[in-house]
Amino acid sequence: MTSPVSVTIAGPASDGFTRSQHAVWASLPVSLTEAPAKARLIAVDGRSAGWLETLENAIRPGTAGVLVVRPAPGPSAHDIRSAAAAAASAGTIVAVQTTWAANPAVAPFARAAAERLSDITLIDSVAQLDDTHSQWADVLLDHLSLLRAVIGPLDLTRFAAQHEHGYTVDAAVGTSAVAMSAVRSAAPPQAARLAAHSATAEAHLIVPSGDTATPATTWFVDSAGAAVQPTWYETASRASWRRLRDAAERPGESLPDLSNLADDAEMLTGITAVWHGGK
Amino acid sequence: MTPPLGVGILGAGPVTQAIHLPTLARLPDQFRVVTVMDVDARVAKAVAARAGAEPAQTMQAVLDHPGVDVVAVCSPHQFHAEQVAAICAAGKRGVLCEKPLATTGAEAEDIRKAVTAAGIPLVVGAMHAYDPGWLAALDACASWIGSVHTIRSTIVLPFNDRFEDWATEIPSRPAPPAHTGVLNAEERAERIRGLVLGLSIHDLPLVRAFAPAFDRVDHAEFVAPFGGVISLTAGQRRVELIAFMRPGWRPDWRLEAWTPEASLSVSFTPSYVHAGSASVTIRDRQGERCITPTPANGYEGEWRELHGLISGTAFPRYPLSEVIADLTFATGVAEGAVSAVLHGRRQ
Repeated sequence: MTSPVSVTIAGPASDGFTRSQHAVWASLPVSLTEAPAKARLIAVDGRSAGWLETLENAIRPGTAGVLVVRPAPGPSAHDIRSAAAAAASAGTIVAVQTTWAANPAVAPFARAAAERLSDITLIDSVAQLDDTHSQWADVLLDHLSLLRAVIGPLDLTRFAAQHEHGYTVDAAVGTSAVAMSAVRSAAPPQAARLAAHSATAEAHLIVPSGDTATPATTWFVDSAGAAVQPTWYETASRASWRRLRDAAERPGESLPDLSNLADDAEMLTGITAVWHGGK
Repeated sequence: MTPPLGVGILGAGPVTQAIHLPTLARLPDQFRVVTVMDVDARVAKAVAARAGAEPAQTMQAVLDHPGVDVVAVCSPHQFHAEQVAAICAAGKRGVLCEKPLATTGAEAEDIRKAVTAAGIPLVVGAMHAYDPGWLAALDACASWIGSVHTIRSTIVLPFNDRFEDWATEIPSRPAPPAHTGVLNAEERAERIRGLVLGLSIHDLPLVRAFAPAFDRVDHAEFVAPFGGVISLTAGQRRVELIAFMRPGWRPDWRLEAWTPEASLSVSFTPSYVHAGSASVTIRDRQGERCITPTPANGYEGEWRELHGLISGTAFPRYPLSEVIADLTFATGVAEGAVSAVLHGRRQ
């Protein structure tokens, strides 16, 4: 039986963030234990001001890993890449938890989609959020992360527009057309959905936006019928901690999360610089 | 009891065979098919025989038939405007024209003048606009329809033959277009025009219920084998048209609309099959409400509307001005999409 790895929160964090992290650690009592003085794993509240600076301060020999939770846009891709380089030098693994991509059903779904669908020609994704989300750049960063996790990073943005109640991004991944939208509505479900279509098969994903363990729904369609994938009643936060701990326990392990975040931040900057509309 | 109205049909392809003849067979008190015209004499004879009707090979033969009260225009798109004008001039009592009513604004104006001069009812075969589920949805969301900020039409369907064969028995159908490999910009532009006027057009009158005025197409892209992504602005609302036809079996035909407080999702059955009306889900902070489908579908709705208008028992649900506005909207989207495919900028 392995001993629990010590964890703590670094830098400024909201009360809600602190409570949620404690709740997750309490659900992993064999894997994690809070020990602020000698923590090997560190949580960073990505919604707090200066989260990248907090991350940079946490990256040092002796810190096995850092989990950045829901990083807000702001830091440049260059600065994020510098942090990634520093983490590699220090031997600190950095995991990033974004709203939808970190759901534990997403990675298995992406692997299954890659196996089942060849020649995806159309990807359609809609994020529906309530009125607590007012900054569409925040939502789009999460949306880009989800697209990357499922089918890879966008290669090209063909059109982007935002308005008070959402955005539209028409893009491409390889030869596939991508239609991304976000819409504001208090109506349920608060979720991101994604459908990938090839000439002969489909893959579907609906990821809840909330902090609960409400599972994502994933299913595939082909000539034989439709098959729903097993559900994961685990929060994205708990899955992210397990992932970070497992990576930190494997010598020589690294995660691409921070580099991916830098690339997504760069894409976000390019899109928001040209999109039309209001706030 | 008033005798059923005599129907003449122009064009005897799959739409006539799988949609209108089965629908009219369910309305024997209102309509009786008296003649079916097709340029292919064998097809005209075979299809007319199914309805106990006379075959014809020319439009004029249909117009000259003394038993024809109303004419259904089920011919290729490019003939619609000319044929509707001829029907009006022939003194018939009504027209049901398959969508699109015409393909250009000039044709739309010609139709407006002809129908106005004749003073007869014109119903466009936009079955979703007459779908009982959609009409119930309109009633249910009447108080907040003006607050809709985003509309999405998703049409993901198998190719038509899958459903035609479940609605009737088709003796012959046009040959499918040959595979042409990689398409150039002009070819993609023509296909996106066909996509708008042949597929997306089903839902454009519904889009107009939320966003009456077409502003511009922001982006359009054709997706092989037959699909596309079109983003447009209408009445300052965002409108997304997602369409994709391919082999396979699963249909997904949805119209969605969102306000800050509520959402509407209307799920339609595929074309051709007579599987009842759309199902509707309305959601808000309090939860969700479903409107269950009815056995009647929009095809019956079109014909009942025409009968009611001719018999004087109904007011037009869609006056001529709205019919023309629907067409103007659709041709605007088609032209905008063509332009976007040909000249679209990349960011």
